[in-house]
Amino acid sequence: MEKEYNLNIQEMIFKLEKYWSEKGCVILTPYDTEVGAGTMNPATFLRVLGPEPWKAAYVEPSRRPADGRYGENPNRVQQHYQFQVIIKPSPENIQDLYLTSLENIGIHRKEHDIRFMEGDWEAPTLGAWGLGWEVVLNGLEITQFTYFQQAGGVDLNPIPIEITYGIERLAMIIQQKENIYNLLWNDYLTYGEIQHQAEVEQSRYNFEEANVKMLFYLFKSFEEEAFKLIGKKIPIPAYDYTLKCSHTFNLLEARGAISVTERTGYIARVRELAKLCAKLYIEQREKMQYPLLKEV
Amino acid sequence: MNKVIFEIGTEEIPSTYIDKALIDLKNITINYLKTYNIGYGNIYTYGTPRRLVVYIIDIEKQQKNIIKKVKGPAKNISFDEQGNPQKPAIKFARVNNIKVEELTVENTKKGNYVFAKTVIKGEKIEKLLPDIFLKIITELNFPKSMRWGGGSFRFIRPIRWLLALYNEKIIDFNLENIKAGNQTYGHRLLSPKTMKVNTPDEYFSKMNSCFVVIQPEERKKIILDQIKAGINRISGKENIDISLLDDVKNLIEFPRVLLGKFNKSYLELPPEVLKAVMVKHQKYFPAYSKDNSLLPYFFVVINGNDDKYKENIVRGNERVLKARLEDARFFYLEDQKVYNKKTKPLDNNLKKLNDVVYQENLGSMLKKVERIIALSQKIGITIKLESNVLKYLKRAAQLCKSDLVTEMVKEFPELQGIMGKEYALLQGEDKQVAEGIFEHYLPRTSFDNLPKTIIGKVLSISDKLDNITACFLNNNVPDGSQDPYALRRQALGIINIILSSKDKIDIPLYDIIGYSVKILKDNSNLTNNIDNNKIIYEIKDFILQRLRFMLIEKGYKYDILDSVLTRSPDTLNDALLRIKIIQDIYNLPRFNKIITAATRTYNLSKNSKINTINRKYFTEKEEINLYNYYIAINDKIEMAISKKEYDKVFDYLETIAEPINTFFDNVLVMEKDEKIRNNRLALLIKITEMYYNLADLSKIALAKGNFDIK
Repeated sequence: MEKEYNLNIQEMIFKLEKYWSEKGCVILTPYDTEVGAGTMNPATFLRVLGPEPWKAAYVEPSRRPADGRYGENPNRVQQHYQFQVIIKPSPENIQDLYLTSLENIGIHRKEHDIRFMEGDWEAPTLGAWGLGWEVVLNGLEITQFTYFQQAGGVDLNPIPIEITYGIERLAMIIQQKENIYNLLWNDYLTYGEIQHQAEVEQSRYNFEEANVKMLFYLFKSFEEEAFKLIGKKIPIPAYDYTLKCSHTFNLLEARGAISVTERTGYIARVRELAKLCAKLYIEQREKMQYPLLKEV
Repeated sequence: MNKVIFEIGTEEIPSTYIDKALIDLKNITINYLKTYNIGYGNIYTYGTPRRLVVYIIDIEKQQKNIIKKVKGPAKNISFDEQGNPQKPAIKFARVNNIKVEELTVENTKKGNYVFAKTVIKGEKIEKLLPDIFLKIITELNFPKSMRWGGGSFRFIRPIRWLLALYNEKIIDFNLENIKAGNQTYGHRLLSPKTMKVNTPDEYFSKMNSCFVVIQPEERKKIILDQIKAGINRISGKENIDISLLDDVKNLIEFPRVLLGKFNKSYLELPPEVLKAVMVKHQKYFPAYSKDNSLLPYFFVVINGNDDKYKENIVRGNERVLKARLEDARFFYLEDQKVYNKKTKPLDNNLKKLNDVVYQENLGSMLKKVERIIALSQKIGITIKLESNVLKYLKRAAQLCKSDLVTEMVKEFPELQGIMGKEYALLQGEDKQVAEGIFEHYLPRTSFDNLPKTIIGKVLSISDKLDNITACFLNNNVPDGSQDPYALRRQALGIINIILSSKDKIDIPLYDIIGYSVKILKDNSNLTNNIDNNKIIYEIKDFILQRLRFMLIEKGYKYDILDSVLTRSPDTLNDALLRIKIIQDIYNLPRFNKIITAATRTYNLSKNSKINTINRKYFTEKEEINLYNYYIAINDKIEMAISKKEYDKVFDYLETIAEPINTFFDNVLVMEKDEKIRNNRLALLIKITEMYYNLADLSKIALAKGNFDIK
């Protein structure tokens, strides 16, 4: 029989996938280049642009090099997992759909104090922002809930809703664990057994070993490549190189190689690429006569 | 009695906007009922994060009739002598849709005219309410707004339903694809199903039964009572953060307070850190013991009431707080790690400040620290601080921004200054230095304390003046309601520190601002060629304008403020002294006498520029007499002004009023002989200058009145 309570991580993911699949979402896989959040996956960033409807859900391993703690902090990791839902246009009953999704993984609304607390969201490197909430469960933020207003500097219409579940946070509540590494991934292996060595080594890489000279060189090369591809009018590969720029920038920052003064400049450079990709993507979809509109 | 209920159902509105929205909602409704000529008994507004509600009682069934009166042709062409209507009258009646017999004649300034009175019958309000409701929603504004779904309407958060009832009738209208009806929703978690409401009165009982307390003040009271009960239970002291309470009451629909605990060992952290974690991050109310120290308890306000799950909810909150406090402890210890005889942690941080941007084009925080050191020393020397105080002042200036790069302040920015003080004490700095570091941020808000120590005062003035100068040089000057760098508040901070200080801080504004401009230009990357003198006066004027604003709020007369401030007094204390003296004599008859004489003198001479007097051109005894009087008191007035004995100045000015009046009564200033005329004008100019030495008396309303009479 299927468990309802004390789900392990993979059961939780299955349930969320099944739930959102039943709500009409296409269930995708993580993107194959490093991203800082599920938002950066083209399944969100590019698909929210333009008039075509879109419903997708997927797990996204999200890298935040500066959050590395060598596997020693019970709450912080340099790579965590998000469960991302993106639906355009945002449905009327989306908050209820979300609360029901929680009930599916054993968090019943009557048993907890669940609050939608003001949490406006902005991703400066993507030229994206939205209004919404942090969903807080018994004092702990478990989800970011955002009505996107702009992406790549472009006003969105219709408006998509993004729901980003923090998988580890939810699992810690469901499994009542105080240490991320003690979470059960399945009934036999813990999060620590799967991830801990990576956390230690990646922290070492992010803070100590990353070759700064190479990273600066890569940033510049990725940037040039992205510009070139924009010139060739192929936004999807151009966006890949924008993502690579973004991750390289994050590594440089974690390594302490970028001063706060320079930081603004680097963010602006990535944003510029993201904006160009967005603009080009919209043009391409228009040329293709918005194929996904035909389904409606 | 006729009643209306209108509920805008939303997704969660951020707490900080709700109180203001309810005031706006009421005013907008009142305005529209007035515009539409609809009478009513009373209007109430209520709200929670999920609904904004208008309740109107005793509303009239229909609009008041509107009586329209139209002026027509003159009587003499409208009727013949027998009173028979003529063509113009007949046509006028037809155009206005009334019978000729209904025309009236009225006597106007221009003679007798024909009028048509028509009555426009008021509409039934059911017909008007849809329009009114739509206008209300559209007019309700928020600082941030958004779109949702496929619509183009903007609101603070998505609107999900509209309930609109006039007695038992649904007011039928649509806002994009939302149709108004008689459905509402209860508490999101405890009563999620839709509910039908049949009448406005029923709305209130339905809300009660579905776990929604619609009055913010009532929620506030429930929370307050429950926290008080909790405080009693742990024998604590009542010390409840009201601004947190005002925030929290609008985070929930059905308040319930729970008591949580944390491990005593975290009490070793500075209390400000614990409070920051609990209040700012978690919105918990800290618990205090009778001696005002923190207890290892907290109160969390939840949005629900089910007893069964209470334990679980408290445990969850305790776990979150524990993790946060654990982080804070980690940062606290990390921050103190770099410690050896040569470098202490805060000194060590100075080089990190080189990497923190102060403001675009204006270099790093390290540069800013260098400027604060220079400016505060300059002020310290100006106000004659002793050398050992200057030494501590310098040290405090040097370290005042070092906490910005500590882990603790990075995590809790609101602890800036507070951690600086903590860490300064931990690394063995003098108490005055530590206190100065904390105080240099004061006042942080309009209601905050002012710095108490002289080091804190001078540092605070230096930091704020540098911010103001920087923004002026960098073209970030406040404009209308835009003041992103809070320069107005900072200028007011400087004014309040100086004016309320018992230690005398008499700073010559021109010099100090000039110095601030100079060091900013010297150590930043500004490339523009701004005229120093111009910018100094702009900044000085900005500060004096804040003084004006502050004193108007305190009830000083604006004309007195203008008379003194247009002379651009060079210290704030001096400005205030002059203003007070004038305010004191403003209503006395002698002031009237002084102003009258001053105005006569000023009016006659204001267009002249000659100011050399030659005794030998005096011809009349009254002018010689006036001249002698002038010579006698002018020196005395200058002496009194240099000693700041401003009350004496008015004593002297009073004595010259009589000779002035005698002069004007007997001597013709505009004499044909140019030499004699110019000499007289020159005398009047000299006297005017003397009058206006202290304040520009022509700005006094009394004086303006005199101009009008002339």
